[in-house]
Amino acid sequence: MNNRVRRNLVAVMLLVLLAAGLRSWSLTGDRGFIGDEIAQIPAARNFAAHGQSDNTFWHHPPLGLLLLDGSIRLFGDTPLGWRFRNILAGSLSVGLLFLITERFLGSRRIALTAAVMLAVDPLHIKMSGFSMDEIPATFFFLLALLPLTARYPSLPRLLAFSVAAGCSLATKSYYLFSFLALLLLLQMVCKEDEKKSPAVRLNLFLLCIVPAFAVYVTSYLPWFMRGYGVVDFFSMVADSLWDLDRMSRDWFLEFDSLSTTLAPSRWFVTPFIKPGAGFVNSPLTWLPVLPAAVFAVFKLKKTPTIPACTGVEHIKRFSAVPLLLFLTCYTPLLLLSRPIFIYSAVAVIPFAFVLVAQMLDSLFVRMGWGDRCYAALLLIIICWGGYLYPLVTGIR
Amino acid sequence: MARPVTAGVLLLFLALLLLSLDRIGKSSRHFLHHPGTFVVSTAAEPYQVWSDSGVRGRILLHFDRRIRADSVTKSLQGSVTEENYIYRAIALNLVRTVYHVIPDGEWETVSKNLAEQGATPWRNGFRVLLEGTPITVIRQADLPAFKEKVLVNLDTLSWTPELLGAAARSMKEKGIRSDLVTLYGSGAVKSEGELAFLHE
Repeated sequence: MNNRVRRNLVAVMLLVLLAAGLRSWSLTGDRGFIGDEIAQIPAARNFAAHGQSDNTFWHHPPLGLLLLDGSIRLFGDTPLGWRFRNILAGSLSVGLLFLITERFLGSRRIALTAAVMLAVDPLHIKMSGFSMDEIPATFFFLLALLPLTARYPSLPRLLAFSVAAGCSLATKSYYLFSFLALLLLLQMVCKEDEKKSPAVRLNLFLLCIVPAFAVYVTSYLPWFMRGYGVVDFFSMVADSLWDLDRMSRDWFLEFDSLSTTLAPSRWFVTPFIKPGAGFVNSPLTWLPVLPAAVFAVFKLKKTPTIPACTGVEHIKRFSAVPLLLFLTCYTPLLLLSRPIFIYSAVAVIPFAFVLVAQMLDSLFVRMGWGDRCYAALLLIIICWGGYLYPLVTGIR
Repeated sequence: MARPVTAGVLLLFLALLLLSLDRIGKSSRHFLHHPGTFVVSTAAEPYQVWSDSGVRGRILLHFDRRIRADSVTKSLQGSVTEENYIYRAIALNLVRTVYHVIPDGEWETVSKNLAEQGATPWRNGFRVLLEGTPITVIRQADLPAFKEKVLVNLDTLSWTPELLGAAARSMKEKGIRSDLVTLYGSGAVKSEGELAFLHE
């Protein structure tokens, strides 16, 4: 094991341990159901047993419910059983973000900054502490990115990407457009001695789509076992999309508190730290996101187009991936007509933090600030997260 | 880059997967080998008949003024009542889809209520979703033909002999068949003969 791999492994382990410790808040004290758990736990058990969830959860793909039921079967109908899935997925997400950022961008500093931001982010900590499906959906998508960090994705890596992306889409559909964007990007990755024939392109496309779709449709197996066929399946998916569009306040157990949280257009613009709000943003790390996105666009335009795919150019091309993923995940949420609440931001913030970390790194390099200043930055981020921690967890 | 994997292999895999899921779904529907008609004394008893007979994943033709799918009390451990037994049958997968057939005389009121609630028009009736399960609300003349045997559940209080006769003719014309008929209400015994053709 070489030095770089060893250091990365240590960094990942420490990050995951930190994240897991912070996310275990919901296992302390005598906490009953939190948030949607009162409906989601029965829905998970019903779906696994009978293929029927409830009035809210039937709209969404069911893999999250199946995993939740599995966690309850493993750890019992207890707070640990209800929350283990999210605590694990949320913690591993931090490690994954470090790895994929380090590999895509070739910078351990950017990777560590982004991962620390995610590790101490109050929204991610809050949602990792109970059962909301956004956390495993994000985890699976980050997992899907890992195989793509290789220079030339091989068949097993593409399969792994597709299966993990399918798991994400079978949990929640936040990353649909990001997935499609990655398919386009993969079509562009070239090898100097390989001809890009239509057959190769078609094979690549199907290799990425078919396993993902297979995971998605197979997650509905308990539903099929209610006696439904494939035609019924497509009808049901169409029904769910149509019904989602008619979303009303009755859907949400805590609509009144949710309705006071921020709309997507204000997530990265307005500080929102309100005692009792449940979900908050983190102004220190969220407010720089949009400027960081603009900075990334500006930096992208300044990079000259390089036709050949050698190692350095490969990384420069991949430096656009965080921006691509941020835009393809955030933009649809901005454009949806139905209510979108701040907890949906958890799907966007991993890539948002990479953009902020990229911008900060460029600033440090330009200003000639060394490792001590960088360590001070990480300390500020951690202390800020610590300051917000009692607000979202109730732990003093 | 990935070694070429033929598009055909991937598409074949997908086709086999979808065929398998379709087959699993259709084989999950449990029918009775010996068709029967049951006259019950209360509106909640059909659920017990269905449960005891072992039917699963079925289409239900529910001839009644009321849907009886109250889901307010969502516990599946509570009592089965006249108000919730259809919901319970759906939740526990005895029934996978419902055609709620409204007596003609009540149709105007029902359709007005459904239109006000924003129900989706479906042919000459309406379609609503109960936790994802489609419930089609129609008149007897608009019953579709079914490729499989259905469950028939009929309230003889709201379906008078005249209305029942028209419904029976409509079902006969469309070739509708049933392996399990449940009847309740004061006219249930008399109605048994009218619906005997469903078991042919």
